[in-house]
Amino acid sequence: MKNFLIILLTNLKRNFFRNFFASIGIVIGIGSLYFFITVGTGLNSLITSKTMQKLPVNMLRVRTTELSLGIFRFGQPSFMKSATISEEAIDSFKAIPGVRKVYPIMNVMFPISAVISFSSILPGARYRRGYRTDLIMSGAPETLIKNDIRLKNVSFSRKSWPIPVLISRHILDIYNSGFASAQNLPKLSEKALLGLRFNLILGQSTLLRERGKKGIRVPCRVVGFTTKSEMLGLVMPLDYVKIYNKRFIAGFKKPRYSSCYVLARSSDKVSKISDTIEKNGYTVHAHKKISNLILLVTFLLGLFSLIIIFIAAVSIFNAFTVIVSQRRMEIGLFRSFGASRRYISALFLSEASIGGTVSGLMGITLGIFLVRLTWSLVKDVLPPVFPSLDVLFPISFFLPFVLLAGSVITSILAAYFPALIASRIDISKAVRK
Amino acid sequence: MIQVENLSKKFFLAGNPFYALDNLSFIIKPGNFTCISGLSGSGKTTLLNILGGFLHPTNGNVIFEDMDIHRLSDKKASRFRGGNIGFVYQSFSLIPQLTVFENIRAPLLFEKHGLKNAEKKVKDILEIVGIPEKINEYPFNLSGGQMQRVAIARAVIKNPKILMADEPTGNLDSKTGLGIIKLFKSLNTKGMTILTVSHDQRFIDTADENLVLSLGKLKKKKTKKG
Repeated sequence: MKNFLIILLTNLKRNFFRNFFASIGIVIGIGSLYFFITVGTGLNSLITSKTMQKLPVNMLRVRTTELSLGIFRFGQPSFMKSATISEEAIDSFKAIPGVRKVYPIMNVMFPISAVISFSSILPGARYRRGYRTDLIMSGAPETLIKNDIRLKNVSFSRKSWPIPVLISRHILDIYNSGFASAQNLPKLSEKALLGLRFNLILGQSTLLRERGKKGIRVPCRVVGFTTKSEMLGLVMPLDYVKIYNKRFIAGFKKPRYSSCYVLARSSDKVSKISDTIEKNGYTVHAHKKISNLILLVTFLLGLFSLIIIFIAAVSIFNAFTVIVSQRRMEIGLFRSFGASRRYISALFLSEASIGGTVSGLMGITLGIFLVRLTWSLVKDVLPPVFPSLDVLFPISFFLPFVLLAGSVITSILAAYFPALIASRIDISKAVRK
Repeated sequence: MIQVENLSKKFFLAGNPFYALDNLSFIIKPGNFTCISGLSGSGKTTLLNILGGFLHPTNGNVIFEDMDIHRLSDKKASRFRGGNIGFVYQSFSLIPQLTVFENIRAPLLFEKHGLKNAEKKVKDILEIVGIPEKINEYPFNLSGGQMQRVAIARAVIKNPKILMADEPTGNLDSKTGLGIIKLFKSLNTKGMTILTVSHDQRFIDTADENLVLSLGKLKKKKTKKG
């Protein structure tokens, strides 16, 4: 074994540059595969854990389809069937086989803002002044968000006063990860905000004021937190939104919903329900669909990396074929010294496996470097849902080992036939230069 | 030591068969200095390759100390070659990237515990072949004669039972060739069996026995005594 290692290391030293250049493809392939798999996994888990948090696999979100042209989005022309989600549309969704329940969501369609005083949760004169901010508010039925209500004995209906509201968890994330430190404010937990009272100003925002209408102040109370809201919005009982939309928007007679959640009887029905709804011109967001899309992109990028690795394998095959032909005399000598065919094959395959190990390690290092480099370039422009490196690029314990094994196996397979050729070299011809 | 029985080797040239060796039978005795001579194309190198186990015969047997070497598995045949035969080639066949020391030591790497006292063994053998000062040189810094001495040192480092050489003076000038012939003779004097292919008359004269091949047939078998 010791002698074998001496021969192996001597050969590796002698063919260092040839092996190195032959393995560059493997290094690039493994590096890019590491990068793509890591970023794909990160995006997928982010979609699963953050954006679609608590959205069960048998739940779909239906929205109106919007037209877009380059950077502009136009909504949908009113003549189109799916411009809004009407009561009839909700009924038609309910009638689709496999649908258990439909939860309509209605956005507040007039300017709205809030005046929030932090004095109740942050004692001290410094925070006594009210903080005014524009809001996105939507209404949801109690049945949809009842599990998100954290205050006891609260009814999420028009009977409750002050109006119960749920805050989007994303708002809290953004506040804590950026806004609080920028404004020198303390970070807040959900517990601290629970029960917070503030005033909504209906009909007024810092940007717009409804002409001829005075803003109406209504008291609200935070009763829980949800992810079933618009990304940066609040949720109040659906009936309140219906009432206020009627009051502030001329011609608002029939309810028009902005979106709805459709609960399927089981996850295997999601695909069919989704297709039926999409055929009617609506856009469907499903946990599975987005995950699948990301997986598809990850797969395609991974495939691209595999093509690089395949080309690298061909290059290793080529390099080893050249090495074998150039080392014919040496192989012949080794055979005459007593090396068996198996020994010669093992020698070449060991050279390939060491090359594969080194290339794999270099590839993984390259992948980690690419991850770090990309993160340092994009971290400032990413939305706050990517608070740290490990969210976009989650560190997998097994991935480096899998890639390393892949690199070694690829190198061995690429060198297999040249090694076989080497072992079958005609000694009598090989030693005669 | 080596008993050759009805040995034939058939090749195909442009689809037509021809016999490079045709029904040869002879014996090489231990401690003998045997030279195989003949014209180019007479089958000398083919015979040496078959006797060394590099090439399989079409017919016949090569019995080396009661063992038919062409009936052994690859593993056993390799072990047999490594343990019993040393080879010297016309073109020296030194590995250019290795030093003289590393070239001579190379066969020891294929032997269990071969590296034990390897440095001493190499130094001793370099003394015998007469170039101890070249131990750390690379082959490209050596003359033809020195390279052949390194090749001989490498062939005998494992103290083989027989030393086989294919035209060992073929690439050397007359004076250098004579030095190599003397070296072979001195190794033979120390008890090593030598089998060499050569048409160098000085080799033929030095050898105890001369096998003359002509068109694959053993034409003459001369011994010094007879």
